[in-house]
Amino acid sequence: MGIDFGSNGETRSEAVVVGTTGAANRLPRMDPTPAFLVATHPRQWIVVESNGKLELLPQLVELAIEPGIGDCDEYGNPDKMIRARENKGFIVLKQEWAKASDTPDGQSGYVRRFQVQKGHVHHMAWTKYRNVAGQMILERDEKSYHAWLRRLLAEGLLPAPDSSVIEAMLIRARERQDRANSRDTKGNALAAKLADQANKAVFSLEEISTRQAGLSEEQKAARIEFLQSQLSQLQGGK
Amino acid sequence: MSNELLYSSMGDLELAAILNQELRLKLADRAALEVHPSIVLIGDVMGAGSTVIKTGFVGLDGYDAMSAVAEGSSSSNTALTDDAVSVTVARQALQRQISDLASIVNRGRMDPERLVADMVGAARMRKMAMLAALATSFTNTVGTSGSDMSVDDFFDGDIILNMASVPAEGRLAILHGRQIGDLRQSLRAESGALQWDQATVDMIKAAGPGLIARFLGYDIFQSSKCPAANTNADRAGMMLGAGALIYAEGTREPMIGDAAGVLAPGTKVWIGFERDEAGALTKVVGNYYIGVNIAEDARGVAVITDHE
Repeated sequence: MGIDFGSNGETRSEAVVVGTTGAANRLPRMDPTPAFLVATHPRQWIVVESNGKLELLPQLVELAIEPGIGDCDEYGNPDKMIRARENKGFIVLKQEWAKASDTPDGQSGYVRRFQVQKGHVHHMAWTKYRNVAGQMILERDEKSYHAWLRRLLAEGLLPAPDSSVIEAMLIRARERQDRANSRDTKGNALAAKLADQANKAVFSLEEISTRQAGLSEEQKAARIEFLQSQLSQLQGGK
Repeated sequence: MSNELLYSSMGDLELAAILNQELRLKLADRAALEVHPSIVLIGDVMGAGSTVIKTGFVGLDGYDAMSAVAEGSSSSNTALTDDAVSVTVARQALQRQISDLASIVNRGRMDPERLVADMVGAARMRKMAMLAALATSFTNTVGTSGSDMSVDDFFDGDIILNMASVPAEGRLAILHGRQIGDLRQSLRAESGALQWDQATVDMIKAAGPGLIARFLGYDIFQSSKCPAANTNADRAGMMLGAGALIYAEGTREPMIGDAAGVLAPGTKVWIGFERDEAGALTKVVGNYYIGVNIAEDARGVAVITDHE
């Protein structure tokens, strides 16, 4: 077949779709994950830094809603599971506690799902998956997530951390600090890093403890300033 | 030149591809803990009249110690401490359907017989995933959200179990691969004598391929099934003492009306077959009846650490 040239001699080229096999339109190939409720226990907290201020926020864990797992009945009804966890001191968060204004997508409830090849992946409203070159990358909106947790604490839906809990966390952090600082950190970058982390954890918790203590504002400010200078010295000395 | 014998011109004599006769398994986590002292089978609901098995705990044999009573004084009754935990058995299933033509062409490699074996593996992994999902229900936790797991976290968990008088024998840690990697990494910072015993063939034979080491008296089992925590920033593994987790099963025996079916040898997995003669199709359905729960909260600790 000869080449079909145009009137002025240039080739007549047509648009060609090259290399597409429809892969981009296929559903993601991920393992499905079950629907879940989230729960927190008054003894479980995470230390979060925002705007230069440290605070304790509740640690949330997922309780899978699936028949046969941990008090879920054979039909997948989680009522008994919720009661059993509440008897152990857990607080199971209600879906309506996440308002539309709390979530990045502006929808109420804290569970989201999307379809994959073999079912659905369920995830928290503050996470999303992005397909990057065939790999599903998880992204979190931590700022918005932490703001939601703060609101739940402020409105009393979740209890504030008890001083005994902070004290227990502090004791554990100090034990860890002792262990970390008893290691020979010279020439051992990893040991030095762990010591830094342990020191920071202790000062962070002491700072949080100070903020909650029954001290005057001046006393609190002086104590926090002292703690921060101690931490700076420790970090500067490494 | 013309009429050369080129590969590209002999389409009638060539195959687009030939198949290797062996089908290789696609990479996946197939490590399921079959037998370990920390996971106890409490019964079978077959003929029990309920899907729920309740197991009782009683405070005897030293739970209540004697106390001094003055001479001439009367002793008084001490209440018996008891507790109970329930396990609800539910159906777990996997179904596949294969045509006769596909079975004929792939005889010996991909046919209903091969799918029977597939059902057993699927049931084992389902049990493992169900057990791993319990990690988030322990009230005691160690680890720091967003921070790599370290030897310190392991020590923290060990101390909690020791303080709860959990027996030293039969301890187990089920951890995510990321957690195990971080734990081993942090071992490099240790200067004292800590022994990470890589699993021997005998250990793997006893507990399955997921058992990767023994550390500080714990069997270390790696599982990708460890659930998420804190908006997927973390994974929840667990450290367990003997009898921390319980499970119950239901044996499905042959019944009137079964067209075809088999109880997979050595398992409680019932595999049924359903023929569609008009369509020349065979459905293979694996059914496994199981329920899992935490036996005693104090016998375990969740290990919640960074996942990334």
